[in-house]
Amino acid sequence: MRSIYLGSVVEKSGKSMVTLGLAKNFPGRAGFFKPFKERLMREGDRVIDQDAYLMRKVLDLNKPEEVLCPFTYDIFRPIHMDDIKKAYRKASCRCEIMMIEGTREVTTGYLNDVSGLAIAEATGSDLVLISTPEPAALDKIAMLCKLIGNYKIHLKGVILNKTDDLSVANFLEAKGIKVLGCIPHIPEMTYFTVKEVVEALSADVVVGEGNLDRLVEGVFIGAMTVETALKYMRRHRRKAIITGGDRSDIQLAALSTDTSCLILTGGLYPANQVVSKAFEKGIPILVTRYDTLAASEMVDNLIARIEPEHDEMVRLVEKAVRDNVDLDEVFR
Amino acid sequence: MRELLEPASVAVIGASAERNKVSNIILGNIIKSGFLGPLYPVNPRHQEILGLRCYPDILSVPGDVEMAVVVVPAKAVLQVMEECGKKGVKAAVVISAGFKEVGLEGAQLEKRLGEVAHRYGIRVLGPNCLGLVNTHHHLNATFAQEGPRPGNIAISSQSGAICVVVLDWAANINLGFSKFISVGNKLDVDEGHLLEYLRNDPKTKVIGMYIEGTDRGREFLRQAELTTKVKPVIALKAGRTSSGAKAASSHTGAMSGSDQVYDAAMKQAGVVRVRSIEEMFDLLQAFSTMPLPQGEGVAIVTNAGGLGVMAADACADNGLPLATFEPSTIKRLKEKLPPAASLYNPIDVVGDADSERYDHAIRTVMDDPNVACVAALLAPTDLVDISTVADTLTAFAGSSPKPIVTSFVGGKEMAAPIAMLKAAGIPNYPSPERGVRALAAMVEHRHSKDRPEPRPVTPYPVDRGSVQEIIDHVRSEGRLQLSEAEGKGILQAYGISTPREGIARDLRRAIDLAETIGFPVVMKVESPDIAHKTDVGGVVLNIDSSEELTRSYEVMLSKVREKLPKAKITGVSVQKMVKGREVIVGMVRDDQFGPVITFGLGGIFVEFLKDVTQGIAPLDRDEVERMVRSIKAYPTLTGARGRRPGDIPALVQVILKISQLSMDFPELEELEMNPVMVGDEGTGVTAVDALVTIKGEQK
Repeated sequence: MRSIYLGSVVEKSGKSMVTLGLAKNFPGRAGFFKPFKERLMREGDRVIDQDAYLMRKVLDLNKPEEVLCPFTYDIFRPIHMDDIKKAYRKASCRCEIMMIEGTREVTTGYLNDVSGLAIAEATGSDLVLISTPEPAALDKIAMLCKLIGNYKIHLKGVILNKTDDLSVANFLEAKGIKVLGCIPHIPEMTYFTVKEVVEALSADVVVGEGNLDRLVEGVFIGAMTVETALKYMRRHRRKAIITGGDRSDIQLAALSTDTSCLILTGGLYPANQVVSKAFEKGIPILVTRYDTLAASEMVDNLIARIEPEHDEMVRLVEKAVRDNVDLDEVFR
Repeated sequence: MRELLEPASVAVIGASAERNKVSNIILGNIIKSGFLGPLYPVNPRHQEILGLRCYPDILSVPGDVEMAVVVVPAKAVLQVMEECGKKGVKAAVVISAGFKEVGLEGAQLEKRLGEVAHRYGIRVLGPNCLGLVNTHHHLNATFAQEGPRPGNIAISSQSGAICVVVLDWAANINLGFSKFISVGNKLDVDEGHLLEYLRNDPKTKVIGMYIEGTDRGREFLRQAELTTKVKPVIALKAGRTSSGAKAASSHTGAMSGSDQVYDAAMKQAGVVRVRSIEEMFDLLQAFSTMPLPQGEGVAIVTNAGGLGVMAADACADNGLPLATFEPSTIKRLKEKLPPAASLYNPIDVVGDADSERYDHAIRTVMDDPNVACVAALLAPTDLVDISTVADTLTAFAGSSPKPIVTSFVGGKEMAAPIAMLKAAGIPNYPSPERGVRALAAMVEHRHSKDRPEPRPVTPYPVDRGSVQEIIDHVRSEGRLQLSEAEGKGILQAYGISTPREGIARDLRRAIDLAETIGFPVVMKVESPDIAHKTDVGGVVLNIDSSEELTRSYEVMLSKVREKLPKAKITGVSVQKMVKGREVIVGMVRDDQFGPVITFGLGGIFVEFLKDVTQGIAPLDRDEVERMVRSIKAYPTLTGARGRRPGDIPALVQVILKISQLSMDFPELEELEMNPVMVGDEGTGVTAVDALVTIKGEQK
């Protein structure tokens, strides 16, 4: 059975998305393994990795998420490579290819000799690097290519994500680095729902309970004068506005533009009249105890989650990978 | 509206027999005001209230009911309204509170109330209001302690508290009202409806409005425009400042909107805007008692030079000219005034003036064709018999062909004479400034009343198809903001010229481009991630050679990369450097008033100088010309200090085209051309930059 290790060059390169897309495009049956948990979710009493949950559903795997993604990485309490190998065997199923998804960056775990490179070697996997195209990432790709010489692994190449600029790919190829594809930015991938914001901020929904499935395409902080705020608010659609509960002026201005939800911070509830207006417009108002800075950081860190039930999004990812990645080369 | 304000029959639903209950006071007020039609208290718990037979519900009332005053708890209002509908009630005044103003549940209730009223076609005033008064119809359906006396002033107020204040204050200065309407939450009836009604109300001579916010701004504007052609409208719009707006927003839930937009809207509609209740009363007094001036020249008659000077200053502050007297006027003045008197405007009848001197001076100037209105000032000098002067002046009440205001300035000595003036219907003010302000408002209204009908604007031939294509394309990509090139595409489709330009991916191509276009050029960074190019050093002006362009290119890119390392830079745009006077022209679609066109001084100091003016589209040529003339920097456009005049006709055309564009494409949310370069006369104007935003969907 063949296996591919998908390692990320920089954080937030979209490795989960690419893993999903590749697995969906594999002509035979694909299995999934991810040594270390990242973003967690609750499923009843269990705390499981979101990617494992997604892949189990999408690939229709019959092993529980705890098997597909067993460990938590702690730099001071390392997991031994033998345990990882055992877990990998346990996760493997009757399939033609195993997709192994790395953790954060491919170098994560280096200190304890369980980096992505080491795991790829230990599991006999081919390596595919996933990266975004900014200059710092390109330098790192070059460095990794050198480093790989120290391991007995085969680097299939690099997939550049969130770019349609082929000149970067050509540039890398000219340097002798194989580029397997350039996947353009999929804006829908960065959207999240109001419901996810509610969960991330443990917020109270004051009004608009029925509209939590609205998409949020961007987040703005409303702390300036209304005139200035309005300027920004007019220019961006389906946004979440973070402001204080006492800023009725900003809140009403936001309600007058294309806004997906209002996030009021500091535990301050909005004025009655604002609630009434939001009710008329059907726009959810969330109240959180966090201050504006903390709330905005938490929302910023929300990575759009692909729900297995969200067929349209899964199809979108599948198509983006099919159209832009040299699948023959990846799966050969 | 007739059924609401002049009902033939009234029911008070929820009338209580208990004294001091709101519903009991309202019923009592209706009785006390002498309402002539049938009046039905409705309350299942009583047989009789205040001597009237009480009915268990509205459906049991034997006769027709045109208007119902609803004073039941909020929860019961829906059912009451349902019954009103079945009974055939035409209008309802919902006094009850507990709606939109209390939050989610209230808002839900108010929405359902609107649905019920709509289903039965019932006009609704309120909810959460103080009620209404129609003095000439002998109807006081409010719970205010003091009913107003009949007169010719109509008042509407968005704040119940302001209603009470106005009533109390009015009683003190002897003002009479025709209508008095508290609009509350404005579920249905708002200022727009009221203006339409009051415009045609023969009993109303002047309309005063207290407004915190409007939901139907455009309709308000339309009705106000029609009304000010007939009678004055004075508006007190609270929430002028950002602090005030914030307070108003949580109070009424209406976004109070940009104050400048309100100002522009009111100016355009001919509404006189006041800043305080005091000023509102000052103006109402003058409009209520005096005829409108026929011109604008002011004559000042005073017994103290100092007051005269202050009044003259106030005239200048308000843009009112002091009248220049005809020689015959001066001759007549000379006949009866002492040698020490000043015969020119302001006329100083000197400290020992008696009533005869005042009378002579005032009558003489009133005969002068250059005088449109008169301010008579008096200081309590030792030698003047204040009461006799006041008594003489009362003769001008009601009969004066030209408006006259008085300002008897002082304290103790003045109380009785002032009371005499007020009782007679002469508006008196405690300071010359306030008197002059009242005259200025009357002159302002005179001008709006006489303003010419807007000249129909012939639309310019434009290429709407291209604009639609651009908008559709932007929409298909899920964007709201247009690129500069797309924005300029829209301008070009409307025949607004933009500089020659192109986009280059690298330095070599940029140099080629600049040489084709011809130096000097402007170079700007191209990036979908950068909105404010100047702020990150992404704009270099006046590049006159390829060597200079090479240097600027390197520096510019390094600056941008330093400030915004993550921005994707796709190249640079190279643009012909255009010379001229910098102005800005823009459009923002206001939530309440629709497209607002901004024009003003451009350049780097625009943020501080704020030399801008606004108008609500569609604009006609007169309005645009007025806008262009109104900025302080206008002389720089006409060629101050020996410079050649700018191409103002071309500028006016650009503003008119933006007005047309904003009306043609409601999906345009915002458009800013900053700067627009106004060339010398005959050379045209060029829009150098264009920032365009389209409307989002969730509105």
